[in-house]
Amino acid sequence: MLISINNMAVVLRLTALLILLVSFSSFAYSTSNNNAAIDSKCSKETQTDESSFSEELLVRPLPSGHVHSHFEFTTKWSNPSIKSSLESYHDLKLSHYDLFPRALGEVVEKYHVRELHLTLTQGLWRHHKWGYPVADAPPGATLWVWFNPAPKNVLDDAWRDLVNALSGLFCASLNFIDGSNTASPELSYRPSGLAQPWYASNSSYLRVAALARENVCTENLTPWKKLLPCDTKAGLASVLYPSPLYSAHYHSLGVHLRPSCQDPGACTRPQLELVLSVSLVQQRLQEGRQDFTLRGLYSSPIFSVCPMAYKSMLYVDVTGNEDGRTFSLSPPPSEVVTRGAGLGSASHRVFAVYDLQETLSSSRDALNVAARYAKRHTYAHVSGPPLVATRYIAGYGQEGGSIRVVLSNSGSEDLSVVYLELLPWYLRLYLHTAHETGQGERYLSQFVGARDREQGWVYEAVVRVPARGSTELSLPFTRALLKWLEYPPDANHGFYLPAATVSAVLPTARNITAATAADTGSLLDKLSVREGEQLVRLYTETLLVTLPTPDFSMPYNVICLACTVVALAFGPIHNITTKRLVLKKIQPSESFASTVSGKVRRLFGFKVDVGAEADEGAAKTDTCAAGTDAAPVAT
Amino acid sequence: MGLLTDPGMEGGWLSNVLLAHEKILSVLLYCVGAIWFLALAHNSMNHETYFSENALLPGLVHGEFMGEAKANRFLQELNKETEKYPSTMPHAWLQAKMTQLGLDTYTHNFTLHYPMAANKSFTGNNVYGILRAVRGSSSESIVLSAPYRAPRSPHLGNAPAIALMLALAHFFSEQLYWAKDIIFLVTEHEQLGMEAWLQSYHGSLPQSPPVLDFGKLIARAGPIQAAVNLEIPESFVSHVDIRYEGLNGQLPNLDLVNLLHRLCHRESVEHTVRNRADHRKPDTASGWLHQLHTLLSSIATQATGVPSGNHGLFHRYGISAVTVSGERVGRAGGRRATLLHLGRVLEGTCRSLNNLLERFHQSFFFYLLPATSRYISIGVYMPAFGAMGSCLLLGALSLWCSSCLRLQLLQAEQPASDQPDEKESSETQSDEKLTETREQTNAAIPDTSSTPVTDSGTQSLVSLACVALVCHSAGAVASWWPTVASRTGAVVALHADDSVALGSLALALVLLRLPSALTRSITGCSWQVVKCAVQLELAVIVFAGSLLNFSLALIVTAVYAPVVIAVAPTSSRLVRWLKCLLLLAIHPLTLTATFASVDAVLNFPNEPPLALLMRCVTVSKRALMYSVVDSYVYGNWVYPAACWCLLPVWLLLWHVQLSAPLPPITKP
Repeated sequence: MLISINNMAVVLRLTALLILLVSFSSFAYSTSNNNAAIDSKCSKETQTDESSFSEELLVRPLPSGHVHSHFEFTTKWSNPSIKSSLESYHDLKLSHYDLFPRALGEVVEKYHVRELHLTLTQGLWRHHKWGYPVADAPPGATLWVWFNPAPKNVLDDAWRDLVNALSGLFCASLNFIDGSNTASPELSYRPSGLAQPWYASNSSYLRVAALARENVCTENLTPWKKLLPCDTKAGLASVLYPSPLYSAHYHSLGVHLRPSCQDPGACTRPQLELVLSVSLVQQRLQEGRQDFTLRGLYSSPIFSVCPMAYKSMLYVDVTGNEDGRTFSLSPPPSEVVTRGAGLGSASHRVFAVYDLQETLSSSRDALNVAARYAKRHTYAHVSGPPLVATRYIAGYGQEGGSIRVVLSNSGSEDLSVVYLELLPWYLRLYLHTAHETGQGERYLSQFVGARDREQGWVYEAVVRVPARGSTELSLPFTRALLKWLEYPPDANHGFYLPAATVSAVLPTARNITAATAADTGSLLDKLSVREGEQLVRLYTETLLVTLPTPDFSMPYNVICLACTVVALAFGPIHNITTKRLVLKKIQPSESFASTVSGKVRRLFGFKVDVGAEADEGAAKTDTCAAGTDAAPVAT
Repeated sequence: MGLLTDPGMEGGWLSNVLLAHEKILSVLLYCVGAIWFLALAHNSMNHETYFSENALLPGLVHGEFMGEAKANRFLQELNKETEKYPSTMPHAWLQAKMTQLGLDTYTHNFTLHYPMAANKSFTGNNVYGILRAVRGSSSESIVLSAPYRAPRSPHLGNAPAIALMLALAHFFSEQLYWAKDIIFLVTEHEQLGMEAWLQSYHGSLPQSPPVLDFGKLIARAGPIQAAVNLEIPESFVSHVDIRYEGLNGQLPNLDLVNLLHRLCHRESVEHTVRNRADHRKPDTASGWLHQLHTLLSSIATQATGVPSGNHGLFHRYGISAVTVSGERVGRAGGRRATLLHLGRVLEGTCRSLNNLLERFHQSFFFYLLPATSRYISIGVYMPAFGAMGSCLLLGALSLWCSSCLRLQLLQAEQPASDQPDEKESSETQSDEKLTETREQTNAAIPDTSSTPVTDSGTQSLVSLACVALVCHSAGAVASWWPTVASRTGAVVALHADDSVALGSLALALVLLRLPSALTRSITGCSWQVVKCAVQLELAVIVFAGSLLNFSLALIVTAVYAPVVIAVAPTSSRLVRWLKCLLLLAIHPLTLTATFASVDAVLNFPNEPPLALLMRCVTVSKRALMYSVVDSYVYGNWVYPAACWCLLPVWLLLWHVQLSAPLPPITKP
């Protein structure tokens, strides 16, 4: 917006396109090239209906003293009907459910869904301490869905119904998603599964919404578990007990549905892939050591595998600990897998792999992997990942403020970062004073203005963050006054603003935990990142903003006051309206008191003058009027 | 009877009563207000404190803090470390300790460019650690802070507070129940460090001539819900003083103050307000006097606008904050509180604050505390203050009535020949009162009687505007005068304190000659109109000010109102001199010096008189200097308010006092 005609804008525009391309280039397949191949295979595969299930767990000790566990349950399903609807961008027709959860499948079928990502998260992923997660998720609930091509009003209706269906399915307040907090951003949320460029670049098929205030608890976990083929009866899911889960520093439930490839590389056989994931970060320092056991982490060892799963694996990240000097694992792993381009390269990763099916079948004991550290854990400065974002509200008072985000790049190359802000309408943004500080440049790629109660703000900008530097963006705002029924019961708590999304393509794979390619078969494939550029999407903090709040005891006071007034007014009005006004001649009769006082005065020899008598007379008439009540004196 | 219905202006009985008894009514209102206010210190007039915010649930759980040994270990280490750095903060040690406790630790640098001297700057360094709440998303936080005091600082040391804070950080980091992040903050250079940190935390825009360069913070933890500042000079304290007065007289929510008192009571820690324990029998006369003393002491503190601790700077940002100050009185053998007790109190406080669902909004933000468990709310003290202040309005009203009356009389005088006397009959009734008021209002300036009366009225207003403008410009000059004075003083190698004091004195003396210059150039302004205007202005200032800094408004009213009632030009030389002296005694500069000296005398009662006098002079100079510097650095508005509001009012009063007394009206 500010830099419209100079070269920088062009460069940033190009990088925006680059990000767009990188995010799906690896799986954007071209039908024209492979038409023949598909046709030839189709004949063979018409009868096949394949579905597979795998369960995997990654345990990563983090340098900050925490332990990150990531459970991933993957269901893949391919049959000719799915294949054709995925290729032709038509609604899925699912039948003969086997491993795929029917509850979710029916929802997906009905509401034109092609790709669906739902995360329910409690806690904030601390990037500067924990690095990048397998899949980032902001605090609260986030839902983003790519629909099959359809007119806008159809998609809007589908979206409205979908959030209600999912709300029921996961016991989450997703039904609070409406037009005012939904957006279709251009760059930040590309399809993560198979998509052709014409589809992936058309963000009108996309709907994104976030509920920052959503609390996640067992009522969400239970329906989530029911989507698993073995439920919690067997397999890795049987160790998901609520109490260790909900005392963790961070936990995130994820449901990711996308079309993916059965055959890596050529990508000719599309399939439906459902990944159910749980991410946990825990800290269990024992005697100052970072020692952990599966029993300690989940209050139960692994005692069974899901019989439906073709693969049940446990990976422990031992990168940098190949020699076992930092910590030792017992029992020893069945295999140690080294991935990447060799020791010292950015993609070098080493995993201790436990094949659970093999291990549990060979011994009758449950598997309780324990890591024993040689030294006590010392808290020290942890060098964070290259790109970190922090966001805060500047200013104080109830009138204005500004949302500031600091994007810091500790890497050695300049980064182009897509920054997306979805804000509620009750903040009034001021774009003319929005600015950045530092040496960064900014190119506004999308801006949607808010309409009261109908549409929120969408602010998407591409920002250049200099190497070993930072850029601070500032979005000034003022606050709107809500109608008094629009305030929540705890109005003085404040209103949550959803997390901002920061997407960037990092030049190296050094700090990347998991790649997001569409052709990855298993968790281990995701963890084995390739050399070169990698896309990261990270979320900032949610913000709490106070709006000017009326004194809610005021209506009560007003009611009291109004009732008093009515009560006081009732008597006289009732009198006036029900009693007749009759003009009455007042006889100057002497009351008892005045006769007595007159006698007393005369007795003591006071002169009673005329004026005083007249006054007395007036007083008498007054008392008369007051005494008779029904006869007001008209003068 | 007739008076009520008389349409004639001079016949309004209200105005007649007003004109007849204005002085008595004013004095009566003032006295009633003052006595009423003093009576508020008695328990029958004030109320017992209570918790308005149910979510606080104070003392619902048992304290589990057992870290006294840990705190003492930290204290020993810190003392060792302090010996190595006699004048700076051992921030490396603090940072290391906080990091080892698992906090996200950061440092924060700031620089003060001293506003009173060019090229003079101080740098400082704060250390803060954030305990991230488990499962929390860093959207709310609580601050526990302690100022670091180097051995060379003039204040008492504060190492036990920092040690206790670290022990608490250790204890808190093992608990799972936190819903809000807790920020442990150690500031340097007393309030300066705190101000810099807060400005930086809230992302303030840099000032245009940068006085305080507040640096940048790396990490934050959402809006701060409440803050507790610790000042514990020793590891054993006799009692805990809860300080609450903030910058510009802002107060924290009463619930927070109550919370601390309640928890101290629960942990059997002696707790006080303004270092004064509760009286055993508050209903007796001595109990009333005791509470009155406490009340007046807190009013005096609040009126200065200077925070009584680092907590006071939070209030501007809408954050309720108090200082827990451990005190040690020499009384040996008394009950003492250890760091364990204090730790339990703070644990309870933090847990209560952690329970808060909404930010503090219930309870009171405007109150006075005569004892630890009694409060006087705004609804209770305002009527008393209103009675005191309304004598100003009453005076203005009567002056207005009398000038209107005078105009009417003049009108009646001029066209008396051609106007038929319709109201003769009605006037006879009120004739007695009328002559009375005529005598009182020495109206009718001889030279204006020749000009048309309406012109005289306009002219009077125009010249009033001129006088007011000049006086207010003088106030504006005074507001930037200290900077000029100190810069000029620096040229002749004068200390900033001295140059500001001398400069202000010189300006004040020059301004004393303003009225004579004004009367020479601006004529036709009757002193009544000026006095009416000045009373109205003062009334507006004190009533508006009472909602910002009640104590300051109260003191200004208490001091100015009697003088304003008394001020009027007289022909008697002795009376005039006495009134001038009275006016000089309430000059803002004199008031500052008086209050500073009284404070010095109360604080050092055992000094020899000459030394005390010297101390009074020094203290007065300092008070002036600090008020100027505070206005630049912290935005304390006592000095600007004195310059922009009080000084013009005083100059106008001075002008009124020195104007010529008007000859009595010539009876038609």
